[in-house]
Amino acid sequence: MSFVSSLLSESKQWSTMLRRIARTHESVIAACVLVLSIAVGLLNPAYFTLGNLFDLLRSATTYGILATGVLVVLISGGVDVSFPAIAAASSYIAVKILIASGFQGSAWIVYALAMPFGFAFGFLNATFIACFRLPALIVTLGTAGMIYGFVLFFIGNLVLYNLPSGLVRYGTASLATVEDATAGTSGLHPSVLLLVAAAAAVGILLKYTMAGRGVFALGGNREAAERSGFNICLIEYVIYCLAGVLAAIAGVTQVALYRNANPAALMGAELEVIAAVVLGGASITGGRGTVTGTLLGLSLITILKSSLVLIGIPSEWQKVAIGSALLIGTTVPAIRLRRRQRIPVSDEI
Amino acid sequence: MRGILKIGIEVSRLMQDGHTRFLAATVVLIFIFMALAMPAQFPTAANLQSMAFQMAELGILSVAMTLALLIGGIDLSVTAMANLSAIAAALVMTRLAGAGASAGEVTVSITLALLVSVAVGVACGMVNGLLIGRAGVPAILVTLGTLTLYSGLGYAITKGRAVHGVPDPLLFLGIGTVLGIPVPLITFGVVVGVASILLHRTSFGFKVYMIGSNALAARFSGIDNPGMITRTHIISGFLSAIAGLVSLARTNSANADYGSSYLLMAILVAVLGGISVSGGHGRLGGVVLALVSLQMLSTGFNMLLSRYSGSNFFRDFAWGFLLLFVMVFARIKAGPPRTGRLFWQRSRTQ
Repeated sequence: MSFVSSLLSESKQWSTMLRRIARTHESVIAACVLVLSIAVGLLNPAYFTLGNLFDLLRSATTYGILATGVLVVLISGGVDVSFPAIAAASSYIAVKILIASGFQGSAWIVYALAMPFGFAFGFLNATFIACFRLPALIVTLGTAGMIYGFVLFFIGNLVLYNLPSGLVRYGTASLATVEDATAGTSGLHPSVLLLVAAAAAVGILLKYTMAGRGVFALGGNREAAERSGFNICLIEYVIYCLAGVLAAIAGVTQVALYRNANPAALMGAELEVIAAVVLGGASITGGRGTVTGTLLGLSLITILKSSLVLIGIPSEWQKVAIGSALLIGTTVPAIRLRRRQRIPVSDEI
Repeated sequence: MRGILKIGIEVSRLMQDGHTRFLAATVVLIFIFMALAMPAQFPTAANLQSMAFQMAELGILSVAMTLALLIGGIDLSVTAMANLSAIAAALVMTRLAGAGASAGEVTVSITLALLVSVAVGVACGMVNGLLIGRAGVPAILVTLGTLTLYSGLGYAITKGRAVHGVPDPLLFLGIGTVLGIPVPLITFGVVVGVASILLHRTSFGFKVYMIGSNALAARFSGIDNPGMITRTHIISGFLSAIAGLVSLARTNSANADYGSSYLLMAILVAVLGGISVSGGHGRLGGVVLALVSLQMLSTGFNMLLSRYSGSNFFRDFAWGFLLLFVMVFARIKAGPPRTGRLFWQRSRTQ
């Protein structure tokens, strides 16, 4: 008898756990990605090919690396709109220096040279945000203008095509290739590994380190975090320097994939990346967000961007689809949250 | 006489605010610097007029942004709304009054186009307002979504191409002058005048400030927060539509990504003008001064550096620098925020 009841209670536990998992934001987004994929795949079988997967990954890599950095910033309750500027600036400066010195070696040197610049720009952001306690949106707005302007005016405003040969080789390299009679050859670019590494690093940082827990604490309640002994200033430096370094990595990846270094590259990408992170369940007011969700949100936006054409929706309606997805993805949870809390009027605008 | 006195009192009241005084000094300093650096080019009537032409669109968008910021939100969709309404107006006019239309047809089409574009702006603003006020989604998220949605709609309608060919009478709104004063500047002046009366002289404005500084307290004092938020965003959409019309009349074309850099610039102007990003603080006078100082900076540096390539990029650098400089200056003067401390101060919580 007791065995049956324990079995019953266990199965009940399991079902509540399953229900809880089904209710998380990640699973809702994952379901959306799945449904969208199946719909596109049914209408156009070309979607379910390895080649298409490789192409999707290739187009998501740069934004993915940027998104992992933005995730950390958003969880901490801040916001960063300067990361495209940092990405473009640090990669452009690095490439320009290497071209001037006649360097033709490995692509890793380009990464290694760009990362300190990304770090420095992130450090600049952090100094204004942490030391002077200025709003992150405004600070990064200002530094974004400064960084773009600085590079375009003082460093150069020409797109560089004569990249170091190592970087060109890296840009055309692939981990695996598939031949397709109609679509031609598609390769899996090695930079996907960088995206995986960035996601893993940020995931570990957020979940298993004291600094990561501090990021959540800071985003949840700044004063409480400070009183419980977190060094807020240091944590903010870590956050924005990390975002800067990740932006630099994304910038060099962008250069390699596009085979040119453009000082105005990625201009305007900030809102799309933030949209992907928010769609993945990160709270814009801080304290909530996961790497899995971010990657899922990014997949949703990537699929919307590249696959609507496959099912016959003209490409000029892409932005309408993304905008609608973003509005639905933010409004539905907000209304559900309000229903649950039974708050009649919003206090947070 | 009495009018002048009244304006004088108003200005002196404005100058009691430290930030406004600081901005006024900045404007004067930049003007003196530029005038000394380029005495033959900068302080001329032609240059002042051309600056006035360029200022208006950004200025009107900044007022729209100011309203959204004051109530405690933000409106990232202002440029998208402006472009969408400009596209709507341009389409109405090019369809109804193509080449060889009679004067009557042109008048009808212009009237209709103005109505349509304002209606589009108001409708867009209402969608923003309802989602923010009634559904309770953070403003930055809603307007991020509608920014994509509205500019996507504009892109889908025009297939990414610019719409040309506005009837000549409308161009007066963009390139005409009255007594040497550019019409866009007059439009901007009217917008600022009406908005400042609305904000500083009516109960509507008082409620906007109250919601912006403490939404919960505002609700408990009987203010209809959702309704106020909706109305504020409708006004913001309406102003965006006007900015769109001015740019349509000035450039004789409308397209889906015109002036997308104006979005961040509008935020910059508002914040530089002393509007608090967390809402509830700041006056419109500061926004106007910030706009003038930024315009002088960009025109001046364009002239100074015209022999170097990419001189217009220096403007972005100078604007970003000015924004950070003003913010740091204001922070040092105002002291640390309510919670926490600045890095050189000892913690108050110990």
